[in-house]
Parts: sequence; C-alpha cells; structure tokens
Amino acid sequence: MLIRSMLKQNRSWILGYSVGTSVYLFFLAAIFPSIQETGLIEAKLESLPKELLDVFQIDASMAMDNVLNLLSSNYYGLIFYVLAVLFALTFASRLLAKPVDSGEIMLYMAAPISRVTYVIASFVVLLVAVGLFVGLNGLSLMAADLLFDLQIDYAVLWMLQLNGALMLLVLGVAAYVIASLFDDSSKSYMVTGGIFTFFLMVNIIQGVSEQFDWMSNFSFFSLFDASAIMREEYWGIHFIWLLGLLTIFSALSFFRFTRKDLTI
Amino acid sequence: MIRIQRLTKRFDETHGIFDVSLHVTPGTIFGFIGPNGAGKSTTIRHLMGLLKPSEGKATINGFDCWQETEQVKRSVGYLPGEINYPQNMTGEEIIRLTRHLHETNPDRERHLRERFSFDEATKVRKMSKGMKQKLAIITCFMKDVPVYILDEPTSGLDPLMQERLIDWLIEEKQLGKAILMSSHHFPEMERTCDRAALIKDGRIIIEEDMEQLRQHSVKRYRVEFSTEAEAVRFAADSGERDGRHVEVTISTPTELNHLIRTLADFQIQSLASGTDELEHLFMQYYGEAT
Repeated sequence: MLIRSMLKQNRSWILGYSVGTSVYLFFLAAIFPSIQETGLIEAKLESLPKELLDVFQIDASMAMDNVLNLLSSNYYGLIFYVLAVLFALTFASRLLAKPVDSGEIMLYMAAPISRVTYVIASFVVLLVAVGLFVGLNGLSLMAADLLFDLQIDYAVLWMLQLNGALMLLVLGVAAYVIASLFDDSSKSYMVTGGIFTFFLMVNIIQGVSEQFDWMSNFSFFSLFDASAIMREEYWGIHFIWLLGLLTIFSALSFFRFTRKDLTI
Repeated sequence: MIRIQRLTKRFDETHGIFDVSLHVTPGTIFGFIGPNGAGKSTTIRHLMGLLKPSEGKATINGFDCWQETEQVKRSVGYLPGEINYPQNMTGEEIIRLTRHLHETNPDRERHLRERFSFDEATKVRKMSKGMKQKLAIITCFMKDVPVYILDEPTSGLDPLMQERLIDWLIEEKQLGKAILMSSHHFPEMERTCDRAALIKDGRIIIEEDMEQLRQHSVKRYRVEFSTEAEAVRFAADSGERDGRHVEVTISTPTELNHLIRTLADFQIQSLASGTDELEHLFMQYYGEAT
C-alpha cells in the first residue's frame, strides 16, 4: 500500500520523463531515413572541429551509419546526462527532500512503518520509474524500427538501455543520500545539483583534449559511454562499477536515513 | 502507558530539552503546556520516534520509542501540530490511505465523520486550516488504540467543533485511553486534563494534578465602587486602584473571606473575577503575567 500510494503521488513526473523522451526518440528515429538520404547532417558534422565533436561524443564518420549511431551522439550523450541529472534530482526531491522539509512524510512516519521500509519503498518507486524510462525508450525505438525498417541491432539497443538504467539508478540513489543529509529541500537541491554539474563539466572538459583524458576517472558519466557500447568496448567494467556504486549509495541511504533526526 | 524518563536532547548548549520526565496513565489526559519553542513538540517527536534522545528514554506500552518505533506506532494515534498532508490528495484519499496504513475501526470512522463532518472531496491545497484539522482528528482517532498524542488539537477549529472535540476526548478518557495533549487553550485544559506539566526553556518547571494546580493558583477580583472616594479608602489597605475600580489578588480561602467581610462596609457597584485562574498561574510561570 505504501508503494502504491507513493507511485500514485509521483506518477506525473515519472510518466513525464518516460513518455517525453520516448516520443523524442521515436520522432528522431522516424526522420532518420530522410536525414540519411540528404546527407546534409553528415557533411555538417564533418565540417565541425574534432574537439567539439569529442565533447558531444560524436563520431562524424559513423554518425549516419545507423539510427543507434545517430542517437548515441544525439541522445545518449550530453542530452541523456542532463536528463539523468534532472531525473535524479526530481526523484530525491519528491521522495525525500520535499516530504521531510514540508512535513508531508509524517503521513507515513505516523504509521507503523519503519524507516527501512520507507527507504525500500522509495527505491522500488525509483526502480519502477527507471524501468518505465528506459523500457519505453527501448520500445519506442523498436516500434520505429518495425514501422520504418531501421535495422536496429536489438542487442545493442537493450545494452544501451541497461547501461542507462544503471546510470539513472546510481544518480537517483546518490541524490537520495545527499537529500538525507539535509532538512532543507532547497539546500539539498543546490548541493546535489552542484555536485552533478561538476561531474558534467569534468566530462565535457575531458572531451576537449586527450590531455584531459585522466579526468574521466572523476565523473560518474564516464560509466555510460554509448559509443563504447556500439564498439562493444568496456561495457562489462562499466556495469561492475555502476553496480558497485549502487550498492555503496544504497547502503549509505539506509545508514543515514535510519539514524536521522526528523524535525517535522 | 506513556513514560518519559530524564529525556534530554541537546541541539546546542541552550537549545533542546533537558531532563524531562513525565508519566501518563490509562484513563487520564495529561496536559503539556508551554510557550512557543519551550520544547513541547521536541518531546512529542521523541515519542513518535522522529528524534533520537541524547540521554534518557521514552517508552509507550513498554516499547522504546526510538528503537521499537513500529510497535510503538501500532498502539498510538497521533495528531501533529502542523497538518501537512500531500497537497494534491483529497480528504477522502487521505482517509482511505490511513485505513490502509493503519489498523482502523470502521465504526469509529463513521462516527468521527459524522461529528467532524467536512467536504471530503476537497483537495488538501484548497482546505482551510479548520478543515485540515478536522481531517487530522478523524485520521488520528480512526485508530482504536490505547494511547493518543495530540499536539494543539483544537487549533483552527471553530467553537462548536472545539466543544465536540472536548466531549470526544472526555469520552475517550472514560474508555481508559491515555492521552497526552499539548495546548495553549486553558479552558479546554481545565475541562479535560487530570494532570499537567509546564515546560519552559526545555525544562519541566511544574507538574501536578489539576486540582492541586487550581489550589495553588491566585485569583483576581475586580471591584467597582459607587464613588471614587470609596475606592480610595479601600485601596489604602489592599489592591490596585484605577478610578472607581480596584483589583484585588487572593491566594487563599482565608484571604477571600477577609475580602468579603471588608467589602460589606463599602457601597459596591459590581464584582467580577479576573483572568482565568489556571491561565493566570501559567502566565506567571511563562514570565509574561502583567
């Protein structure tokens, strides 16, 4: 009942992210054949400086080969990172920071529910939200493939979705840990946003020059490299890292929230 | 039922609650009084397992409020001081959710809905303070449990609803429930509570049965004389004069009898009792009495 109630209260933003991104992907995939035919974008991409293309993780020679190559540069790069940050912030804010700040959490805390149960319920909501997000993204591309014969490699497509799901889960749980440190929702929003923006900047700077490659070790976002998945490189180690981080952040969430003083 | 033993929570050197002890037994209502920021809500939060004590302990039905919070909340109905339900839910949805999250009694729910009726289809964000308070009262007492913790229960209610709530509390007390109630509303405390404690700056400064508190309290009378000369003559021995009026403070029955005998020699226009007795006593402790 707790999970059902939490899902009901959060369904609007969960559906917003899932349906919004899926519609975007479907239309991008739908117009791919005509983009490919004209060759205009390919020529434009080739004329851009290599550093700029690296920042957005675009391989100009491959971008128009198939729809997943186009999406790996057009969606599963900076756009996905920004969406993932917003998604994680929304999750932590709606499920913990705001309810604690406003006192709404008392509706659940007055019931015979332990704090461990509340954290588990929050993570189930996150799991459902992430599942819908990447699931609908994948299904919308499969639908586009069926309708427009895009010859999408489904194994690669679902590997991208799985990597994206793990990234969303890690960022969501990390944002939840940070939210549990504060009673003030705007402060937790600012700190989480600041940390994630720092990681984004690190990722962008790392793409500018090979000299800054070492910086990739300091950003979560390096663990979701769509181009590497397309080339079938690194994904195993990235998955292990993401699962490790997910375990650590989940443990921290339980540890922190079950000991937190709630001044509601 | 409710037992708080030397409970201390230090937010810093001067803020928090210090060495708070109290005991609420079945079939009684315990009044918890104090100015804003005195530590009433902090004490109540410990009972609800929201705060971890720095020292001491709070138990309900023998269960530790911090370590065994699930068992504690199973036997407690809680009415918070600030009603903050999710804004986009309706009253009906909140009641339905409460039914699922807690073990509730359908007969009590029906009875409460009749007594504290309001438009259940209204969303929380559109509700007035009084409506939210009624909703909170229904969701608190829908549970048929042995202990209730009420933080400012009449806040925002109109006089009719206040009266209904007081009647309800007295009925619950007669059924053997243990009720801890914080309030600023002295008449309702006088009518319902069997025992009361006053907390100030995080420390309990007085805790006694209501009957004893009434005996300790000073009583004020305002006497109106027929002429100013009479008032001057009377005020020479006792009281504070303001024109034809003199205010007299009495603390024992002997003093009261003496006043009545003295007044027999004067021409009196009117005689009225001053501030509510208990309220005046607590105002003295608050340090705000005039």
